[in-house]
Amino acid sequence: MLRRKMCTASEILADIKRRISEKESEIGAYITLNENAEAEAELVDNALAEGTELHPLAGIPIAVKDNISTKKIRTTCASKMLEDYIPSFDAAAVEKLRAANAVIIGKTNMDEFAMGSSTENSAFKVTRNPHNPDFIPGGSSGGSAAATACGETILALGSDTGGSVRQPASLCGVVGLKPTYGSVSRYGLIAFASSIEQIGTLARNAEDTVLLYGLICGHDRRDATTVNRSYPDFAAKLRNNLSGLRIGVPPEYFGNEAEDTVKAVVMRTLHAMERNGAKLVKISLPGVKHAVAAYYVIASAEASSNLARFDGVRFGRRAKDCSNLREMYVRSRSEGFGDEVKRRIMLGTFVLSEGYYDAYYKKAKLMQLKISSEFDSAFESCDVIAAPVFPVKAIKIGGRDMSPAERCAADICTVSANLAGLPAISTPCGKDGFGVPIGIQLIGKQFGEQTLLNAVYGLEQIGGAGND
Amino acid sequence: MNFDVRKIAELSYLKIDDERLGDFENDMNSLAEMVGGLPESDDEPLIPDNFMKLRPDVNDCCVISRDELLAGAPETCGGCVCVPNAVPIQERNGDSR
Repeated sequence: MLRRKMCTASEILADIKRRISEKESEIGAYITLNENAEAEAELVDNALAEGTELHPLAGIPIAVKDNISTKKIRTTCASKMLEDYIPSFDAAAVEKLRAANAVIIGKTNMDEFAMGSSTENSAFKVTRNPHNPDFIPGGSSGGSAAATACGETILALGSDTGGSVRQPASLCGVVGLKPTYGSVSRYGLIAFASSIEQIGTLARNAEDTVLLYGLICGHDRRDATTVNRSYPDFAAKLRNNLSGLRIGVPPEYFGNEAEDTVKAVVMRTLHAMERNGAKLVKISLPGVKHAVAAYYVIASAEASSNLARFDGVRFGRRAKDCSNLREMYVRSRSEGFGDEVKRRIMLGTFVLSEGYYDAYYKKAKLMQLKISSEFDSAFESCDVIAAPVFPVKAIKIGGRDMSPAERCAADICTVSANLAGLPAISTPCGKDGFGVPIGIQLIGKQFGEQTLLNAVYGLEQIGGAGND
Repeated sequence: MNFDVRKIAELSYLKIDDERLGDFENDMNSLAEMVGGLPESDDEPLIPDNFMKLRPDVNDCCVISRDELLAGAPETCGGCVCVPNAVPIQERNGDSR
């Protein structure tokens, strides 16, 4: 529409801003809005008027999860610890957005330091599900997912450590992609669990997803975990690939942990794909039953190490009137972190502590290897693996009194892909009785994003996307 | 097992208020139980053969100035970050008051 001069970037932005003013008091997707957005849009309009060739995403409003560094825009991780923190640099993914002249709308709400799956753990506000505001939007990228779902942005970036892009995408009825580990630079992503997290994308369909993922993927010498390889033109290769697609269906994701409603919706979608040429293949991933335990040991261990930098010294919250250094460390951290963050840090400290390392951390790393190996074997007989995203129907905000361990158990469908470093995508496929969307998850081979995106595109073509 | 919240909090440079200790103990015991069921396994190498390719330890890609980086520090002086004494002055002087 921009290139056909049907509208300007400034008009698109004004429309999004109008939507934000209408919905934001109810939805609460944003922590900070970018005061410079209008100027960024105007730059794009001027360039287009001069006939400058720009990236397809030029002028497109994009929201950024608030754990991704944005230069001169407050970045809080939804925590009191970073309430007034303003980065002096952009994350690599944000650099790419700026180079493409995308318009950064603002920073979205999330669970504090990406620890949680409901966006209720934010220190600042609760985000509500646009499909039914009584319900959670999922997390931890709940703000990004909700904003995308209700038109408060066109695209969004999130981060996925154990499902935090896919799960809110499922509950908000949008497409959420967790890329292959190493395909998107983590430079500037405020670290939670460095060995398993990736910046991911949220969009309303596969075509938009390919544009955003195609922009942010790539090697970065500032992140030694990025893989130095070339990436295809995902948009040019986007096609319906359902005919002949082998979809592995492991019983371990469809057991008692998943509610009947969720299983029924996902299986109905798989059968629709089968009627359109896909082939359902029985596979098994026995290690999945230990994936949540392995994930929480590894993620918490890394979190306890990564969050040690928040000590009140160089940045972030510093407690006042401390008489010595240790008191400053302890009070700054105790005042700055919420309960969930404290629990995870302590769990991580515990599993790495003397006498417990072998019993917990070493076993978890060995289980991670086993799960990766099982995926490798499974992919010898299938192209993608199907699973639910969230095993239970959506939860009301503040409702369903679950213990922390019970909440962790709900990650069973998503953490395995993080442990194995594999790409995985969530796309809408139905709704529950309260009108809250349910997503289907497809897990791909390493660097198999094109196959995943083509499968989602194919599902959309047969009318199975569930986007109303 | 009984999760020693006070000890682990101390190792984590955290303090849990006394009135909240009970809640945290319950939560941490529940989490420890959840992650405690990992099976024994045959020993395997934990360090993979495909090491990351590291770049030389030379700063040739950071364009942020020291002043920009220090701008976020709560207190600075002469290009350094200021913090409270590691050892209180009274103790250094042998004064235990």
